Amino acid sequence: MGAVNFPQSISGPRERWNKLTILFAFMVFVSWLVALFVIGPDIDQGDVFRIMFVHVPVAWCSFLWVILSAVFALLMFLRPLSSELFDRSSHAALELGTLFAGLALLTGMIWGRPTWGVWWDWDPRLTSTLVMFILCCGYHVLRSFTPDIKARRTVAGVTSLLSAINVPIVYFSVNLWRSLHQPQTFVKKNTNSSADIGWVLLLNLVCLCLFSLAMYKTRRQGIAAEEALQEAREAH
Amino acid sequence: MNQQLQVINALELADLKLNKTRWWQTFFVVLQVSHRSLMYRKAVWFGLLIFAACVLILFPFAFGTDLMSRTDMRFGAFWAVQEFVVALTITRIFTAEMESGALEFWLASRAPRSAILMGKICYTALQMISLQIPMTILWIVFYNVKPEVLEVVLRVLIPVNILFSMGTASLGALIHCVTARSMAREILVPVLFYPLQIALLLASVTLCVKSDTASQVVGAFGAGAWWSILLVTPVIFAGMGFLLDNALLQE
Repeated sequence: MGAVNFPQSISGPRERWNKLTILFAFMVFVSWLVALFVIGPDIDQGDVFRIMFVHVPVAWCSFLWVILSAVFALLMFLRPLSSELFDRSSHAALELGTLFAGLALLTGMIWGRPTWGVWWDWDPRLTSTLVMFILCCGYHVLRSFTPDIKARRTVAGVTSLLSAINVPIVYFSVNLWRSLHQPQTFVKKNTNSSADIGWVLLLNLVCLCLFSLAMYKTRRQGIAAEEALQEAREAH
Repeated sequence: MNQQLQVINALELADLKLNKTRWWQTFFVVLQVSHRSLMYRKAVWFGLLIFAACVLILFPFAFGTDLMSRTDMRFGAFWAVQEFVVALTITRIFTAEMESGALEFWLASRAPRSAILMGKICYTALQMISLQIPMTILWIVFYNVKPEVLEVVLRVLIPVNILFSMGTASLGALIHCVTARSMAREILVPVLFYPLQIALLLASVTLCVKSDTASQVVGAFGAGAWWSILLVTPVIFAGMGFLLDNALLQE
């Protein structure tokens, strides 16, 4: 069997985004190196605090993708003619939201063990993030358990909107309920953190956002291919 | 030209009035049909009550009878029972109408879908409250709620119960509609429902525990904020149901 030659309209964007994924992954790696070797240790936490440069961007990316998924879901309801496209976008965005929410929980636990002495605490921020993660997982279970493609789009859209309700709760939970998790660090300029930490954190955030964007594009192409394959199988 | 515009305006106004009338008519018909379905199968309501009573009685044995003298445990038991009742009620929101074929008839008719959804939400909330009344009496008796704190507790418990039922019913109806055409609904309903219901449960439990003067639990979040959560939740979910009625209720 020879290699399949895809038309340029399909293979072109895929190759472009594959290259960009590698580039953005390298940028993320460089930003981690900056966080590891350029910034000095924290007075209280020592080197442990460096996980913040992974944990905070990952958490913000999870918020971004869950919110974007809800936006795409809303557009799907508002523009029924493009529902297929928006559903695909919403699905890919929520996949990333789930991945980053899971990573935020994991990195938070790794940070929590040396600083709080426990892997997990029923703190409002942790609990609300877990709730968001479970809801995102529920979205994927719902999708896979709904065979009818039209019904799947509708119910997935509604669930995506429901998942986004949690984002402001997670974000403001540290201010609403004072508990173990520290409050927002970057509320006012130069009050809770030094400027260099802020810049490195911003660099990490930008790099991770770009990397997640490349992941999103690649995954959306993957979903489109999966759907086309499913439709072809059903037609056959 | 002016006359024509006046006629068009008058017609539009009449149409709006007709739509409003139709909405309320459908809403009350849904309430009526739901009530008749429940009355036709009273065993379902009694079954739920007996189940809830069993859980209420079994709870002290699971955690130890001594532990039940603690205020927070007493309220914990009450709300754990409510959660069991809720789980069974929301999985049966449209069951009677689906079995009798009434739901298909409604969806095929010109009845506004938002009215059907709102009617079901209201009736489910009423059904939950009807179960909570005898359960509260049983809870007061079995868990020895002292007469001197009873009035204070009931003053909080009654509005909390009403708001909890409304919020839960609106969310339950939404999730029920979302999972209606899915396989393995019994898995999906709790997976999607409970994470979103946590805020309601947390608010209800905290307000009840705080209501008891003997309670030692001091929350960092004020009572006003918990009341806001209880008030806002039904509005958000019912509002979502209202806006997405056509997507949620499909033939």
